[in-house]
Amino acid sequence: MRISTEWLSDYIKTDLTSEKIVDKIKLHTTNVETVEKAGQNFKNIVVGKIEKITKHPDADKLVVCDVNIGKENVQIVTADLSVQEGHTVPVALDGAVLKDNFKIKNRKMRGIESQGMFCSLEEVEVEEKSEEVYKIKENVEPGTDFVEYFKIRDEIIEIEVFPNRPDLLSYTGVAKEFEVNGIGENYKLPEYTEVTAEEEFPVIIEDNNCKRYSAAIVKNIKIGKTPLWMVRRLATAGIRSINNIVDITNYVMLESGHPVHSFDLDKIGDRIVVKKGTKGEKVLLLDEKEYELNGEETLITNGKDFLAMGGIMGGELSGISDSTKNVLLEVAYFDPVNTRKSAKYHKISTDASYRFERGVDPEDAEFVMGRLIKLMTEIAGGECSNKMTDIYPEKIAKKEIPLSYKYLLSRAGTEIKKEEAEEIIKKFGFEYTNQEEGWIIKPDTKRPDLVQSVDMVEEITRIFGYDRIPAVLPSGTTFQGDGNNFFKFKNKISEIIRGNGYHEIVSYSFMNINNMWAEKSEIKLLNPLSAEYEYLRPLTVYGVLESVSYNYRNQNRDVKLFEIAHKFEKDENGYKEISTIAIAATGKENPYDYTDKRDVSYYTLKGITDSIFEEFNIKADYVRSERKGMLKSQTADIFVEDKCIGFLGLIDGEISDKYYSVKDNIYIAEIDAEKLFEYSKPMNKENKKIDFPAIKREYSFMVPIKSEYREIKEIFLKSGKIVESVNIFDIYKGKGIDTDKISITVTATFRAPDRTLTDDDVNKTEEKFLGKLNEMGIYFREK
Amino acid sequence: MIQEKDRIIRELNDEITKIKDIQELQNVKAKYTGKKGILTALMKNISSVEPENRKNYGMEVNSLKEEIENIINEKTEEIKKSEKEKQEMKNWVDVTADGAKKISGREHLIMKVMRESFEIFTNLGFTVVEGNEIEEPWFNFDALNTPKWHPARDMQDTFYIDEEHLLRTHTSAVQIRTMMKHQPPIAVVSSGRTYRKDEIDATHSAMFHQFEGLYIDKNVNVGHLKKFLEIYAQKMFGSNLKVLLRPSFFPFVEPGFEVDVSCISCGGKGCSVCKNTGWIEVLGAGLVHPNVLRNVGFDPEKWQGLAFGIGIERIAMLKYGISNMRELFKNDIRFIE
Repeated sequence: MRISTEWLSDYIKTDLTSEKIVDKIKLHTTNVETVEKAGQNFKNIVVGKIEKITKHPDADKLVVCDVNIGKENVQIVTADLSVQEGHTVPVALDGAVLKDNFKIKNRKMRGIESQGMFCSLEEVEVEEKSEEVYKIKENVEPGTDFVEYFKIRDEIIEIEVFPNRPDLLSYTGVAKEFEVNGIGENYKLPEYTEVTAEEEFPVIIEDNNCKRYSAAIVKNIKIGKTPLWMVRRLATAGIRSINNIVDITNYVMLESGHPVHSFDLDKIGDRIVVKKGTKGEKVLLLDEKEYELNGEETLITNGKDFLAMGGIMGGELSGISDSTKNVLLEVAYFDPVNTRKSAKYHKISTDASYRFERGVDPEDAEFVMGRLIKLMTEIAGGECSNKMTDIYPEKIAKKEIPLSYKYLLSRAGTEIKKEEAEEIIKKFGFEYTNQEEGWIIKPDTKRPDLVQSVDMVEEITRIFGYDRIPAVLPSGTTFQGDGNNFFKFKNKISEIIRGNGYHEIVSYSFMNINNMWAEKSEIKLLNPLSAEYEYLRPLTVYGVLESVSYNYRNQNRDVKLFEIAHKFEKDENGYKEISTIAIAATGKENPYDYTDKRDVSYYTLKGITDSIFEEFNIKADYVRSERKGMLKSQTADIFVEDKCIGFLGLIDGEISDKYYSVKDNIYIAEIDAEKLFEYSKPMNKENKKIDFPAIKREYSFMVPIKSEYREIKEIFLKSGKIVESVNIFDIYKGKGIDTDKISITVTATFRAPDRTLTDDDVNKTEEKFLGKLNEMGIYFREK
Repeated sequence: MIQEKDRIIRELNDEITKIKDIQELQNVKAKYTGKKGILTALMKNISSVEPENRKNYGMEVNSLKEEIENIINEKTEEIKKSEKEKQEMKNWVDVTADGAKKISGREHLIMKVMRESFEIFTNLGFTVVEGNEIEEPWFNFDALNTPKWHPARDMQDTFYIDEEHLLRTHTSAVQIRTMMKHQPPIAVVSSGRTYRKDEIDATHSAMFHQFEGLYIDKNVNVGHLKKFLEIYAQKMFGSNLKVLLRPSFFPFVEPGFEVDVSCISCGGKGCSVCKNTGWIEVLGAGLVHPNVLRNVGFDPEKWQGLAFGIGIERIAMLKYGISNMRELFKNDIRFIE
């Protein structure tokens, strides 16, 4: 809500500067979005009366005007041919300053002296865009300071209005709030005509989503221009002047917060019938668009014809036009939820629907109608009987909210004196009665947000001042904090991966389905931002790969990244999201170590997953795998207790190039962190007996290429209890070795828990595993 | 005799200058001082010297021996030194050349702030809980006092998967899940991804992270909330920070607050970071609305609560001087490092 401080001064007096006002609003009421100053530098603009217009001798498109500016006459040359003798206009004289600090000087126009310039409303910042010089409608003495007289200088404070405070969508509501929060005093409603409730025009309510409908008639109005003070005030709210009748309804809506509507009495027939729409019926609204009804809308009709969509927008055919003579004024209360449903359904949001959705005051019809009648008769010259039809089947009563003083203190957390609390309730102007324990408060119907005790606690404490509440730790229950094991588990994994030189990233959970070259998502957003963010990713590594690609395309060829985040799946039980570890890398293993020429490889990546499994004491098996988009030569599924918990390997070069523009090998891994957590167990150190010395032996084997190290290791470990461990020393493939072979050198450690081993002990075991290996076609490598 | 001696030394010196390694020198040494060497021969000659001169002869030979040994030792040192120098040249490194760094991966700033936030609150007795990102409207809205046709739903433009599923717009849904599982007293924190249909720009992202706290006990008031948040702000940004609660609205709390901290850049004097207000808005908070407690079956007469929601990106941007939120999701290594 944009608040013009000039306009606000009609309802409340304040001596505070706008800076002080902003501070108080922020401390006690709501956020302040912006503060704009209007017309602060304007000067030397006066009201002038054009007494004589003559043609410019040398220019067809210019005229020369003799203008009375009070003490003297000046000569103004203008290109605006809409001016006529007798017009009163704003004149910027020599030395004047206009919008954007535009300065006016005497100058010659095609040889004729012009002592200033006529202004449009655009030049004095009242309108965004103006077509012509503004003609002042009011009777103002020539020479009058235009800026002073029409109160062009203003400060506009824009406040945030929370959805629960519809009262702040009005000047009277804001003024009342400002009185309560100490910004000003002497709050008063504007003057309005007293109206009596008497049948003036037949109204029938058939839809109970309309809780009250009041109608009055103003006859013989003259449609015309709106006085400048009102044009300017509406402009501060961003509303452009249409004509006096429409402007008055907008003005009263901004003043009271209650949207009202004016019908052309001569177009609507002989009665008002408020009823539900018929499904499938088509109606034409003021925005000149046709809408097909769903049957839930509250319609204003004359029993047969559609007149308006209640609380949302008027109909095209019943509205005010230049030929309107007589007006039917509507002040109604429409149900917030139903208004919102209809507005949402038709995708319409108007100033009216916005307010009805949040709840207007059902009890202010007399004031709102009275104010409309006063302005219409004064400004548009209408006549009114000062009667209104008022159909209000069930009065919406004020709520009664009990508030115990003890409860107030227990919530606030500080000592608020009872008298001070009561003083605040009084300031709000709410009816209340004293009780033994506190009060029963009856807030105004303008405040639909106040329903229960705690709402009153907020009202009292915010006015009391949150800054006066001391910060104290609670003294109740002592809680034992817990980091949550799974959360800590993921942090530990992150640490291990980072220790290997991989950066942690965060990438979007949604993506384009066309970039899913392996698993495809089945989870689509109904309303995505765009196709790029349409599907929830079924693999976390897709996101990591996007980031690898981004870096690679930005001239960084060595990229090692990982992410721990949810991937999304859908099965017969519904949606599933699984915390996963996703790793992707390309380029050098140690890009900052020029002594290390290694590239990332299957083995370097497996080194990471192996360290994770070791850290959490998990026995994992790697099984060669054929995965879509991956190369079988370097890809494995990872199994724990016979369940596949992830995979690891090399992406097919075609995929890397096509999807990521990466021309080098990309290795990726993705592991289900939740399953991993399930299988993790603490390290058992009981069998780690290292009291007796070990014997280490090294063996170089020639291995048929399709054999797996896993099997060799197994044979070693199963050949005797004294085999403590087997570790790879070197794997070699290439020069000097047949292409169907691979050379593997291992170091075996032998140890007994209870004695010092002899070479003999080891030899016996050695014989066993060498025999088994020979059966598999594995022999010592000849030197 | 003297002449003999000078000749030997001269010859030795001649021989030695050509020598380059220890082995050759050993040979020369043997030639002079070995068992079959020149000195031994000279010593053997003593029998042919007249007895009264023998003592003198012996002394002269000894002094010759000493002189020879000195020369050889000197040469030995010289060779050793030069060999060591050769070795050093072989091993020579440029001590100013770049070290062969093995770098550690960086923590993502969002994750770093999240982990630090968790640490602050677990130290205060809170327990970490986690929640799902796909949520049901009831948990995300209705249970949080935001019924279907409430205008407050407009505050958060929501991504829907179908009628019954959406991407959570805040972590507050975890509050409901927690309260439905556990009886009070409760002190939990949760954090994770949240989603709103905002166009991606310098200060908005369709995916962002929240950090959520919920505290339920028999006596919970505004002062307690203020203290928790003061501790958080001071641990996160610095011990001199002040905390300011301002009125705000979130349907699931009453009263609701927007929480400012004194500007971390200027300390409150006013600067471009705080737009000259001296304060920076960092989070939203409030006392748990009695309707929310009723929705999960807690008696609001008996239990009271406080809750807060922190934008992780906002904290990270303030703490690390990031002006464009998009940087946090680009994952550009040049930025990360």
